[in-house]
Amino acid sequence: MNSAIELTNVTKLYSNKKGIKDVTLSVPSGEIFGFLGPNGAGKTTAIRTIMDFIRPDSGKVTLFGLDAQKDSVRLKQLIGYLPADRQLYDKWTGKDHLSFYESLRGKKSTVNAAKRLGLDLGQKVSQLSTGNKQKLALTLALSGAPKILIMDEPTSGLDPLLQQEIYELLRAYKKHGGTVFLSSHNLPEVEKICDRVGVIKDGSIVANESMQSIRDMSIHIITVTTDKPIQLPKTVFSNVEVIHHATTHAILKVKGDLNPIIEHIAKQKVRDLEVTHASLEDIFMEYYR
Amino acid sequence: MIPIINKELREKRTSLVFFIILAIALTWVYIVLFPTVRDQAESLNKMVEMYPEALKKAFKLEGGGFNTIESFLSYELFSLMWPLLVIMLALSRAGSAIAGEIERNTIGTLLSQPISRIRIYFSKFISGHISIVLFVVASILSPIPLAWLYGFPVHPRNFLVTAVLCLCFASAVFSVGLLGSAIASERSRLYGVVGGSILLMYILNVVSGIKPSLENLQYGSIFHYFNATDVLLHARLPIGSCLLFVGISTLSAVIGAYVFKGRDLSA
Repeated sequence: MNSAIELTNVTKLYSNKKGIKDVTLSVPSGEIFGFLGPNGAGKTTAIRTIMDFIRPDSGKVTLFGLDAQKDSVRLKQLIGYLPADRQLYDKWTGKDHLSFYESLRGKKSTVNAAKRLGLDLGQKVSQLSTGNKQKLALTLALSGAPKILIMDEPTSGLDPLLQQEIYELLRAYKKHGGTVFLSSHNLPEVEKICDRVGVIKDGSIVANESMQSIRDMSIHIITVTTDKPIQLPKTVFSNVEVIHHATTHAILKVKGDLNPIIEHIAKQKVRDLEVTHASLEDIFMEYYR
Repeated sequence: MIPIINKELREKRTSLVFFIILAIALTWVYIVLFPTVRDQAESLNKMVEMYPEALKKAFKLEGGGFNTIESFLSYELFSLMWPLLVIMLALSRAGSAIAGEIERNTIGTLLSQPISRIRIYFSKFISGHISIVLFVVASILSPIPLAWLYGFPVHPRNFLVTAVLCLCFASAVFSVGLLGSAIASERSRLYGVVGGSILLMYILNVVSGIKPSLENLQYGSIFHYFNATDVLLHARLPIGSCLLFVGISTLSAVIGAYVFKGRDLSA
């Protein structure tokens, strides 16, 4: 499958040494790509580099094979951008924004997301609620019928109903061949709609996997209750992490082979034992650490 | 470029109208006061004559008088008030054009659209100049109909020539301001640096006029080349000054566009 976005050894460091370091990332066309990472990990820096708002110290960014910097104007015809902080003009109405975008792009809007989202385009931005501002920002991002949507935390601060609407809109967009690159803190959201995820930590990519391969990762949670004080030899099992330990009760996270720890637990008088697959959140947290 | 020019003009129309009304109102007040001043012209002229030469030179009170509308306005309006107004207008336009968009987090709206940074910059440059032309034309030429209204003799050519010099001056101030706006990410920093520099140049010009030993400092001041009072009195366009202002404006525009094209913009 062709890549919609390619970052090759991209480094961008600010004066405080924060930013992104040697990031290599590929986003296939026609997929919804979730970009995850804790605050300050470098998500927004990566997005700004892709958008050519900031220029990398080294490395290369391409979209659809075109250079993000040299072919910036041509690429912007193909990109719909939704920033984290809804960059809108307070004194303008939604209609004003839409006609401004149309005049800059030189074409009429073909996607009427506003209608689908139930947004009144006649109101001034200063009079809109946070949710409606986000609806407008999304309407604008989709207005030029872009080939790719780049979204920085698109559902942050929105109610669950509106979040669902946005997911539906993104699914429909993908169905029509669109590619989505979205950064998020919301792990269930990523699990719901993304085909692939990249995880960034301290400016470096620590994972770039399909959702399925992440789901297939063998991480289990063992909850055990014993009659006598439970013995947990931490140093013996390098793949076991003790999440909670009371006298006769313990919760363990096991990466990989379960047998050694199960054998160890079986030597004790067990009252109750539960083994479950770790949630995606637990898996992501592994990367975050 | 047209949509951005339209956007800029639309966003700034209220403040532009305010500036124009303020300038015309100020001119109107002076014109209404003119008959009273003219009646006492002889004593006022004598009083000015008694000022030290250096002071007259510093505040451009030479060669005129209070007998004609041109000389009266050259003293009252063009020695300080009009330059102050146009500097405020030019710097506020320049500040909001780029640094303001960065502060309001709206620069990303422009940068995410299929238009180059160079075009964005020059759209701002052109729209700022349209505002300046409208202000200069309205404020400099308004004395002509106002004088006619009150039946005072007036020389329209003097005001037209003055408008050319004022336009060049305002263009230079705006272009330097826009360059500062492309470098800074905050308006306050721009106003502090560029506004402070202009104030310093004004002080340099005054001090160099008062103190003969510091005479050479006047060449470092933009106000030395902006002698609107002399132009209004004699209708002689100082080509050298105009070329200097146009040169500053052009150079600032080129450097500003280059800086804006190359800088990081955290939108």
